[in-house]
Amino acid sequence: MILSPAERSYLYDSLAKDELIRPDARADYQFRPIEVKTSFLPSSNGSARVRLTDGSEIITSIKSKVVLAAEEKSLIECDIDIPGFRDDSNFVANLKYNMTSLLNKSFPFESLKLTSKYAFKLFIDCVVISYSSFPLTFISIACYLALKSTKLPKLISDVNDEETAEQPLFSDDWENAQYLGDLNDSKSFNPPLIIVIGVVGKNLLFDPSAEEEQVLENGIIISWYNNDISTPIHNLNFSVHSNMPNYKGLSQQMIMKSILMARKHCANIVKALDQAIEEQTDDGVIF
Amino acid sequence: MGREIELSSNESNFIIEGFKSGVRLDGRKLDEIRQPVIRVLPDEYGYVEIEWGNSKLTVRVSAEVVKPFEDRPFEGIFTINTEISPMASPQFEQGRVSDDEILISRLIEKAIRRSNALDLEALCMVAGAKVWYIRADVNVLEFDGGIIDAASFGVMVALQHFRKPDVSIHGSDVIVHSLQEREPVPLSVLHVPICVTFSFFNPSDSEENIKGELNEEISIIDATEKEESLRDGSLVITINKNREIVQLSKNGGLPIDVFVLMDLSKKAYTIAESLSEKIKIFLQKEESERYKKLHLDLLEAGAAR
Amino acid sequence: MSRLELYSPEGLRVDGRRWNELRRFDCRINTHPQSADGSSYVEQGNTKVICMVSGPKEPSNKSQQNSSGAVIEFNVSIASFSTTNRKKRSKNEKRTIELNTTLERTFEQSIIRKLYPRTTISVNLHVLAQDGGLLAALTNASTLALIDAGISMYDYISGISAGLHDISPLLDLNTLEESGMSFLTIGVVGNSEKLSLLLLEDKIPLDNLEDLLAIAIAGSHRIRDLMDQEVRRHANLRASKLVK
Repeated sequence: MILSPAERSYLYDSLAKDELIRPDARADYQFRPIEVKTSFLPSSNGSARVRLTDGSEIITSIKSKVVLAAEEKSLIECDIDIPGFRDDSNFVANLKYNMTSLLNKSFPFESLKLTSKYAFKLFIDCVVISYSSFPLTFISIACYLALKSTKLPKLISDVNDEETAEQPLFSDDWENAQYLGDLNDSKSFNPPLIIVIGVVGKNLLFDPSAEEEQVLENGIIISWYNNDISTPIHNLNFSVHSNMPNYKGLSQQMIMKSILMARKHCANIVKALDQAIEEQTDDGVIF
Repeated sequence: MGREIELSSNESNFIIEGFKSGVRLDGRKLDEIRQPVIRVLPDEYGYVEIEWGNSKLTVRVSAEVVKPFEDRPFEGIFTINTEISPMASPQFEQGRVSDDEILISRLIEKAIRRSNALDLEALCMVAGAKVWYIRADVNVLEFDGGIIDAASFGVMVALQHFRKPDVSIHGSDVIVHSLQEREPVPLSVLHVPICVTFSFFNPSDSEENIKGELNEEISIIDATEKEESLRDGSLVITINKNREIVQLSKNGGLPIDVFVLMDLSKKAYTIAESLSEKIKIFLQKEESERYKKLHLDLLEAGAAR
Repeated sequence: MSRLELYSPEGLRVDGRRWNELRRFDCRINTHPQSADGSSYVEQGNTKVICMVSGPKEPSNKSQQNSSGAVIEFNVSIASFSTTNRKKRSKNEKRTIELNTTLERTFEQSIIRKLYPRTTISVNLHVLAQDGGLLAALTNASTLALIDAGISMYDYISGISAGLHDISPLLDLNTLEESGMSFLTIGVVGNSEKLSLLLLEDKIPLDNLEDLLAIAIAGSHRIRDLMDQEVRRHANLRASKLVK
């Protein structure tokens, strides 16, 4: 919904106060409640659906393919589809760029290696069914959940196939399939996340809603991987519905402040997501 | 959007009332097609002009040697391109392809290409390396309805009329002989699909159509442009003379009772039978004339010597 | 590899069904109450479709206005992960445009368009998984979502596919069966025997058409009943909330 100038000014004032008040009474680090479902597409290796109370919804599927590792530029390909937008439109290209650079920089690629020649390549497809605020965080959350639920078939042929000409062999029993996270036994597997932070006055807000977005002075995205800040980090105009009339430059302090804030709260976000996967009813039905 | 023809309420009522008493503007019966006129050039293969009432189109079939698709090394390639320019009717636009045009070209393609009217394996010369690429270009010159029927009819005539150059194969080398050197060979056409388009009109309101028992929807065959602009729905039946239905396509439109549909498919069959016969007779006649002419040429050459 | 037997002499199909059995048909309405005016989710076997309807609303483009009735827009998007082998497809593929046009023309007749002049009703369909009977599933999902949106329609339109194996007609094919035989898809209006949609893309003998249509119509009536049950279930749920 597009706000009137009066509504905008009221919202700006309440968000810019020292003790900020958000319209839905959230704290500055709080996300809107989400509904989560994973592993509902039997023909994909992993799948997840994220839905917000405002109706935003994203479905992500992960499919794998066995490839010759040397021939691939990257072992992950991420694609985003938003109905009503062309694939080469700025909006889609920007989201896709952020997700691709996030995954390419912060992903345990060694766990995708199968043998000395072959590897799994993951195709991550996000369909944005509907959205109202800038959907990047939720796309990354959907990817996180889908990657967490991704199961890959178990390799039964020899790991060292430098000499052999045959393709790798897999166990045909799907019960033996392993979670992506279990392939890399050294440490626990946590896919990366992107957090979208809005800037109003001296305040920072996690996960700005569609209304809050319209009064933001700037936007920052920060990535989180393996319990630490990661890249991409940059500022961005989130405007989906209006052109952010308050948009202005970003001070250095705000960038530092947002990094500190992300460091403080992101571990909890990851914990909450993991808990959400645990708590969902395991019936394999989407709705 | 191209400019669609708009009929005055007077004229449209007149046409519909005419249907109710079984008459059409051009004097045809409701289930009568316009008889096509076929023209070919005496010294060229694969160029056909079709006059279908006031609709007019040309079909040109050409062949060249290409590398086959990787996943189908034993098959030649066959494509049909349908071009409808604003010249045909102002309702079509230059550059932008409308949904209607896409539907038309998809229907023609499904009728002929998907139904394997052309034997693709016979177009293979050297597996995986050299095959014939046959291409049929349909150009609509004048539009007065019935384009699907006319174009698919034209393509089928052209494919049977066309002769591709003879080749001789030595290992993986292929020599294409010119038309003078060796008699060119016809394509192997497996069956002749004929498209028949029915247009539906609803004389009563839509509630009666859906809930009622009357089934008094009017169906006419081979509508003209004016009739097409008034219709509430259409059905394309593609059928060959072996009593095989190749395609049924009723993309929405007025709901029609299944018994009526069965009836229409039988009507379509009789039309397909007569049109295939027409193609056959035309090609036989054309062939014998060509042969006579060739014979005459040879005689003249002999006399000159 | 020996050719897969699609229909065994004992009368069983690849997935164990008999000739006239439907696959599991699961449908929900009002699945997206926040983001659409009407929504539905349909699973026909392993084919999964989400449908969201918005409207009647003011058209974004004034030139699309029609003063005699609503303009219906369909937009089918087929996810690249919907087939077993991932395939990225362009949004302007001819096949997709054909699907859109077909659905538009089907529902134009069954929606009482004259009640909504100068408006647009747009129907967005997302195909999450394909396993045969795509057009049928799209039709069913659209019908349910339009009902959920409270848009007046003359009757349900229920879609189903049926194929011909040799001389025996088989109902509701999956991908494996679709690739091995000719099949048609129909859309039936309510409990009548009227077809608003009929699509056949491969050869079948004229004399077998009647049998094939007969089981397809029987199947689509069954689908209609299942959809009707869901609509009533949902309506009762809502009514019970109203009483409180």
